[in-house]
Amino acid sequence: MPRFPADDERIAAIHVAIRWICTRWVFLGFVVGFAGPNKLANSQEPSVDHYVTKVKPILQDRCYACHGALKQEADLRVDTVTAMLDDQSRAPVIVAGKPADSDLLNRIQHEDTSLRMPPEGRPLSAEEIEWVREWIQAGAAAPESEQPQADPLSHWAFQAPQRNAELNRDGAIHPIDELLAAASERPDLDALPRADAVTLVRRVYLDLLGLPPTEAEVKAFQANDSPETYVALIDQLLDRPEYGQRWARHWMDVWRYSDWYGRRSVPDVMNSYPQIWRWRDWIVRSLNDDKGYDQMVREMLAADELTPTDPNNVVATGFLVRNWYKWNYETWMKDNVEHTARAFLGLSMHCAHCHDHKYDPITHEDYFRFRAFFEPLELRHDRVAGEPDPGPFQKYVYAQSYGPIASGAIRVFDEKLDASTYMYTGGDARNRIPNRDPIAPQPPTAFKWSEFNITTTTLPIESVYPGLQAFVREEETKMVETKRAAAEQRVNESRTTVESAEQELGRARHDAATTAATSPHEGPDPVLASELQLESARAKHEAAETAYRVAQAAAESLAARIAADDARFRVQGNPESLAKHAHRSEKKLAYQTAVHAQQVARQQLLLAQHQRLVAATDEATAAAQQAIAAAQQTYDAAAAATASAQSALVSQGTDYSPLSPSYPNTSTGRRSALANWIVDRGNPLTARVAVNHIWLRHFGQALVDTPDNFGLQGKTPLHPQLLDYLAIELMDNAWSMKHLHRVIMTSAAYQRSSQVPPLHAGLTQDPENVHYWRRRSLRMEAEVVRDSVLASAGMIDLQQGGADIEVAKWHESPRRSLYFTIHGEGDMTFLNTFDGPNVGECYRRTSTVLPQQALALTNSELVLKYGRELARQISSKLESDETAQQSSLVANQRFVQAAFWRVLSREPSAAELEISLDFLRVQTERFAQVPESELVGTATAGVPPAATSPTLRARENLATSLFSHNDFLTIR
Amino acid sequence: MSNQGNPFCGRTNRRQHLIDLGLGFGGLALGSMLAQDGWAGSRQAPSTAWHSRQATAPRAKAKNVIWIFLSGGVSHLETFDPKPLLNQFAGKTFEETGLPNPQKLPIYLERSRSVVGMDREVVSTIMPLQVDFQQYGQNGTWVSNWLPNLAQVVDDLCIVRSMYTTDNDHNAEFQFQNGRHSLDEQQPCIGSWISYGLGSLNENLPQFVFLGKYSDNRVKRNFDANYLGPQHAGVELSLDPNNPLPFGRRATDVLEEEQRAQFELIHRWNQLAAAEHPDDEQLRARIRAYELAFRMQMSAPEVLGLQEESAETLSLYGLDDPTTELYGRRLLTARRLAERGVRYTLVYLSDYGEWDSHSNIKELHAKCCGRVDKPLAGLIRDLKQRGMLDETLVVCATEFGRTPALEKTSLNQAGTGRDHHPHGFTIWMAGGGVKPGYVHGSTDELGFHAIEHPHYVTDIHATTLHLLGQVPSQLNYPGRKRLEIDYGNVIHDIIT
Repeated sequence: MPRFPADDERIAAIHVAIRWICTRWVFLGFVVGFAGPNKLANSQEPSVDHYVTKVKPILQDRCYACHGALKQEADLRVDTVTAMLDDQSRAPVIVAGKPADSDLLNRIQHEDTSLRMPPEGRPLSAEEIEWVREWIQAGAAAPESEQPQADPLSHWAFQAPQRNAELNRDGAIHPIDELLAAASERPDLDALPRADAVTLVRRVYLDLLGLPPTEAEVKAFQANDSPETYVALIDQLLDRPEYGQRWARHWMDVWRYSDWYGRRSVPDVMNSYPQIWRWRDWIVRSLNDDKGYDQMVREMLAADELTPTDPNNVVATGFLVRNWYKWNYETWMKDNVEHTARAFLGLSMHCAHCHDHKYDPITHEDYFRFRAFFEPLELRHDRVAGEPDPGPFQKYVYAQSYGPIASGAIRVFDEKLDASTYMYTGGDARNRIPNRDPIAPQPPTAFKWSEFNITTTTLPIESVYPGLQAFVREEETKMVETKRAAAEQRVNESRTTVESAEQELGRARHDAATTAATSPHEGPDPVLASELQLESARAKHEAAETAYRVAQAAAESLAARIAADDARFRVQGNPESLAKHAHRSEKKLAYQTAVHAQQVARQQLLLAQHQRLVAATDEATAAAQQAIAAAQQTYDAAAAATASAQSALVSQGTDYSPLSPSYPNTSTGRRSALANWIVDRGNPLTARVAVNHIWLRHFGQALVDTPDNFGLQGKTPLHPQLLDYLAIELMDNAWSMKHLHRVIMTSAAYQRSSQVPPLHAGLTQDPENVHYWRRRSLRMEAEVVRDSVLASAGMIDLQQGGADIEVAKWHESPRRSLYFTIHGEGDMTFLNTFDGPNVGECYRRTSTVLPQQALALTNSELVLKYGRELARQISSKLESDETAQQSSLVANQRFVQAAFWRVLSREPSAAELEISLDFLRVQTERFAQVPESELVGTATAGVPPAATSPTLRARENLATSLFSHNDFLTIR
Repeated sequence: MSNQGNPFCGRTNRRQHLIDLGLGFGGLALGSMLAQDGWAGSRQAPSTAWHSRQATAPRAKAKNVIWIFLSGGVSHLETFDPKPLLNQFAGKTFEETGLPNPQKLPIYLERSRSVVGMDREVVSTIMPLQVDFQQYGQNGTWVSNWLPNLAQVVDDLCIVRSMYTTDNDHNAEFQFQNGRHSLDEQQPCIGSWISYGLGSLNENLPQFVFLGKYSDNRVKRNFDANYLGPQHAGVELSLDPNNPLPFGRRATDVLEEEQRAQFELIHRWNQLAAAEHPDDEQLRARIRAYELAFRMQMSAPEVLGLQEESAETLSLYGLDDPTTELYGRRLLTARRLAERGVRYTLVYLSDYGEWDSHSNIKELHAKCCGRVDKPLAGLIRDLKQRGMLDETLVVCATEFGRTPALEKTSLNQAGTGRDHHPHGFTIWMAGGGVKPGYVHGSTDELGFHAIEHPHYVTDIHATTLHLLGQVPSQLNYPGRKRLEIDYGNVIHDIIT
């Protein structure tokens, strides 16, 4: 790498200036380029020019949707002048030279709004109408060979990807590079060479793991950066569990991951749902396991039908749970439609919510066909082994709030098996179209890419009635057994207490008998006290015994319910008699519970009566009287309850409490059918959309610049053959994303240098790097910034999975950023500052440069804490370095080098080293002159206080500042 | 400009922010940045928005906006829109008045849409006015006795009594700033559009500031830039001069000269990098961002410190009275921000839902009025005496009004409150080119529907943009479709 002499900043500044001027020239080049076509247009016949520049854009924008290739309302097309002139089927659309006779003009300015065109949106402006009039008046000239609008079904993205048979004939050149080189309109450019080993290895680590490489890792690759080592490195990184964490965050953007929100301050869950983090962990796991992308899509839409008894997999439907909105299921349905289509198909299905799509072949009815896939949905809150039973999912009752429940797993299921979808207009469910039959689930009718079938899924009984699962029985049994053992223990203990109270009373009586004769007793009577003690101990013992009978009955009842479940669902034993037995066992449990309650009430009553006996004042007596009355009332009620529970003991019912809620034993199969249609090889969109997302995240630039829109309004791919090659490569290799990473990262395009030599032709001929002649340098995403700060200090916690961590712990907890709570009501300020994801939608990230980012990297607790830790770690290591001990200059030099390695994964340049050493020297001197009392400031909570030793303080300054070095945030 | 989809997380595009921040500043001497001379001075930044400036753009009458929001729903009936008929028909249902039943008019359903899948329970028993009114000012404008101070400046106010919105629940609050019903796709709020469209007047301070405190995080939606990106989101300034903005304070154990040396070191490193990567526009933008950051950190505490304000001024805003101190401080700070060129300040002059008087409206509203009346009147007087009112547009808004009917939470309870009322409500504006002492539009005789000159909330956005010299319909973002309703219509009748 050419480096400029550091002490000559003048040269550097001049260079910047030259470059700046060059950039301006580029800009001028654009202006000249723009002037071109206009000139050309002006040279044509004025009327044609007027049509092309003024009239046609109006027609395109406001009329083509209904009178073009997509639709021909009233059998009329206005996409060519010829079509308008030749139309004989009605009043003339246009009559050249006669605006008054032209129906087009009449209709766009009609006073009757029911006849005025266009029927929707604002009417055309007076100016626009005048342009149309002028053009007709001047003769309605048309450009030569004007082409009608193309059939939307011929759109590139709706054709199957094509395999290029010529590709990679001799294996000498990577297919990606071959296709990039063969691109049409490629300027004659020298592509930049492979990046140097140090740059490349950092790029690869940050790209695959989201973490910088250590000094040792860089040096290992530096020692041998052959293509083979490079491939081995990629494989090794793909095998690391941090890969899943890094790429999961990318897909969480696309799939709109959000923790619950709504009214967090109440708290009231309204959007998404607690425990949805299990879906996040499923994404991480699936990526690490290299589960096929097709399978991931299937499971996110329909794991409840596909793997209903795999609790680790049904949580994949978090994709749908995330869209849940308690207050309005219409919104849930709407978001399911919109984001399923955008994420997996790159289709703007939501545009057809109110009317036929204006550009793509998706009708208004297609929208509702698509919605019908989701219509039967409801949420379900499943119990998870080792966690408390979350209880059944709580349905919304108007004006009630529901706080989060911190156990269990949340997923979807088909509840309303015969749910009907009704069409409405205007995007408002209140406007249901009357007398219209329900709409059946189906993909957009124009897209006949593959077979489509819906088959009802029969669900296994453990999924229909989760209470049958072994872990539920075991945990419930363990719980009642533990309680019974504890109750037994209390019975024994209370018996011992009774026995010792009896002995005590005996002793007291004996003492009383022997001493009564000699001296009269003063104070409380010990015999009476002992009698009371014994009575109380006996009451407690009786209560313990009744409590034991409750625990015993509970255990028996559970066993009876389990036996009845087995009989009912697994044909083991006589269902009727066992159900009766289970029913009675619960009655018995209820009776024992009532007996126990009565016993406790009796004890309370006795206690109150004793209180009155010992009451010394009138007030105490009155209070005790009241207590007795209240206790008596409680006792009477308890006695009545016991009586009624006793009479219920002979009940002959067969119903008993289930061990869990039950759900329908079939699922409609609608979502499985949708998922299969989406990932069918015949679907031309899915693989293309997926590889485009992956490519975008490797390069920071996309092949299709609108990753969520592959429709007619989306951007045309700049390298269509490359896109197709990657899509086919993905599908041919079991949709393996790890395979695709390997393919992409082994291309020369990926490995290129980002350092452009001065005056390179690419800067003017392809400044946007359309042809990948260089590597575009990128800025770390928000999570990578935070994670890299932690990693630089060697303190990151790479633990996988678990419940989301509250944002307040953002600098205290060294967990990776993807594990922190993020939702529609708030995110981590630090991440947000670096363009963290918008949970509403984030099909691609942006990367801004803001002053607040500079402040965050200077003043935040995170940078202060880990910068200081970093400085201390390096300094304490230097203490055992004998060479470093010889001179402070050497020690500082070692320090700077180590700090650069830790933060930037590279050596400092000579110039950087000099500047840094200069800084350390000046800063150390500065601190040496400041009284120590001034060096001690008020420490920030959670951050180690700044050092008072001048040397260490200066080093802390340097280490924290390094996070503001441009090369930290930049991935070159 | 292309209107093709380009969903950068709903955020900005690379080239855009480079234009904002980057080009040509790489070589700026650090010395000037460290000179600490405070203000770079008012500078009209070039417009950076993607809209084309056309000759038809109106002349700007206002330079900055102070946009005040009262959360929870202020009763129009008890503030600026008294309806004597309510007293006459108290206790009767709408049906029994003999007037057209407002709940049976088509606009009742057309204009509003419920979030909760069903419409709110309809109560129609009329509640009398809970306060008396008197006429003030040259035109005899009716003002509630709860607002004695605002009544004294009514000749400076321009009152719009014919607002409506479409959500009958509190998401209408965010709708007031971003123009969309909560069930529809959300949009950037008006402050972000202003930041996007106009750029900065003072580089040391953010262009869009939020002042307020809230217990409910949803309040953040009021200053969310959505797809315009974080650089156009409102920056929350706390009123603590020692800790004004996120990460905007030097750590308490870092010395000032210590940090300055660090900035210098960073600058030197990055100059080296700039020399090595001369084509890296991001890098130069980042160097510039550091300069801005440092200035911002120095400037913000100065703005928030009120020590240079006279005792008269403090008293004008009610800072000497515990009842009005909290909100007075916010409004005085807003004036100081406007003075220093902050384009748009959103002052949240209540806690979330503070005005939401479902019961006991008489007591609650009187209390709420008492907390804002003096500070608001103080702001108007202060802006006027400083000659700032001409160029500063003040907007005082709420999410909806309150029902002419009473609200009962249970059958056997006396109705003492009013429910949410999106069908007709009042806001007011002042200065910045709106007609002083003017009342525009009206509701029907029962104060139910906005009937004369009805205005949806985005009409206030359009009017504000127009006064700032912008054409609302030309504010667009590539790849994002805005609807007619988002642009709103300028209320020409209220403009001088």
